[in-house]
Amino acid sequence: MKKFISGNEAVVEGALIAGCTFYAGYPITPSSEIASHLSVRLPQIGGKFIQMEDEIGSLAACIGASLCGHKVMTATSGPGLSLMLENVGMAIMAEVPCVIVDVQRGGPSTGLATKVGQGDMQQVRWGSHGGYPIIAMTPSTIEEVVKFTIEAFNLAEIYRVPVFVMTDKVIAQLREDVDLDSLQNYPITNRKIAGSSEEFLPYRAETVTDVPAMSPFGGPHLVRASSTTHDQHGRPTSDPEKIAFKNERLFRKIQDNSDSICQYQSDLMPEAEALVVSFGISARSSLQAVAEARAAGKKVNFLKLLTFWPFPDKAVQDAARGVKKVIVPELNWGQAAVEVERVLGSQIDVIRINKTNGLIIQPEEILEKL
Amino acid sequence: MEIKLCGVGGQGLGLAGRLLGEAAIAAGFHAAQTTAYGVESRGGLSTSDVLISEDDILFPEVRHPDVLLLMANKGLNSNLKGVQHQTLILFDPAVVSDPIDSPGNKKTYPFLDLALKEFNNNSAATIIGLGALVHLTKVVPFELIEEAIRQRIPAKAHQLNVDALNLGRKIAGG
Repeated sequence: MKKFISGNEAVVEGALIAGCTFYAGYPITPSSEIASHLSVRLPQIGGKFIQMEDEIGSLAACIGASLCGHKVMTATSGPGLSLMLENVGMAIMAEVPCVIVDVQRGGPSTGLATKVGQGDMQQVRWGSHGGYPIIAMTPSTIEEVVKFTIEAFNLAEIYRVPVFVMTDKVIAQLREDVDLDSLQNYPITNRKIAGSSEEFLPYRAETVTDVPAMSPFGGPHLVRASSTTHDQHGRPTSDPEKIAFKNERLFRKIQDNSDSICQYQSDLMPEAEALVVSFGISARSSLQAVAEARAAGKKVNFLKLLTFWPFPDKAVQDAARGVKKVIVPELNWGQAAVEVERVLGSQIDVIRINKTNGLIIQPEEILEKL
Repeated sequence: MEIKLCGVGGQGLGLAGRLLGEAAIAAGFHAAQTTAYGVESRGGLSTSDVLISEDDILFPEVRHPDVLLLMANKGLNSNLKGVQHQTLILFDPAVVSDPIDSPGNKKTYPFLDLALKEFNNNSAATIIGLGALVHLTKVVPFELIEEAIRQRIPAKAHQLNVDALNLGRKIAGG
């Protein structure tokens, strides 16, 4: 049966289908419904819900619970995300699976608590110090929010990384009909767990693309999780060879698997003259504009990014082949556009449509440029 | 069909839109609802857009309303944006000034006065308005809205809301 659920409710449904058993968070508009629903739903399945003192503690609690074997999630919005960044780095370095939902609102700073924005896309990529790759999903329908929350858990478990689900105020409160029953059997992936009898190293890796097996705290093995650069035992190291191996592995476990991580929808037509690239709620504006442009006889390609990080370079190149201009509508000052420009170089004119007044882009604003 | 419910925070516009959406999907349609509101919990500009279609809904905000339910004067000019000649505009002249310069098929009803007299409850005004809207547009079967009320609203308020909905139908000629 179809249900009329909101984006925030869809995150909750996706998390529960994926096997989430732990949530720690601090309420912030427009993400708070995620916490309030999970505070009811998690105890019903034997899971744990904690309202923490702030967002720093929230992600820290998630990291601890993940290391104990839970599938974990926290949700926040821009101001809370800024506080979480230190622990994003911790989760990267200690290689801890976790899902972070960022319900974007207008910024900077406290900004617009009840209005939409898409201004955190580069922050999740670069916000924590030291340099690292990241995975971020950008669903644009309520069904996609369910699916890509599940995907976020799967990818976090496969690669032992924090994975971001980037929604926004409008998607969070947008209600659409979703067939949740059909999503109950969505494929689920669990982390690799070390056998109880084998000799365990917390960061055992043979090659620079390996993801070490985990063993939960309180289980059969001595486990170390460290934010200091460490060797395969999890002990601090200053050996350049071991440092290089660890850092290259953090980078390449994501980078070398970009093709299988990246998801997008491309809707291409022969002899297209323009391409629209978009994501999240702006992809909905774009989809309408492209449909109307085509109905008026224009030849337009459309590319919807469902994985924003790693950025799907190849999909952009393919969709832009032969077109004269590329239009990138987004609710910030060009955070996707700079990536599109990087991928395409100076060969094609990239037209930015940027809006930061708390409203979503109207299809007419895109049609004007097509 | 594109339906826009407009008023201020606390009037239950989000709920009314949700009831419409739930009735629509029960009737086999696709539906999308977006809401806009300010940081105030009461009294700020509040709107609820509902789109109901047999096809997938691409853009989830109302652009050219088929129906507009105006429950407050606040934000009137922006709420009238996109209104066309055939747009059905329902409003209470006691609280909303006549959008005299705007196109549209205007119908006035004393939603607030009835809510206070019949139910001693000003929030019932929006559900009375919803009853009138559903009767006039036939956008969803009336009984599916009643069913959505039973599913969505706490039991102790079922009767009041069903009564308010039916009063809306009655004043609209049903």
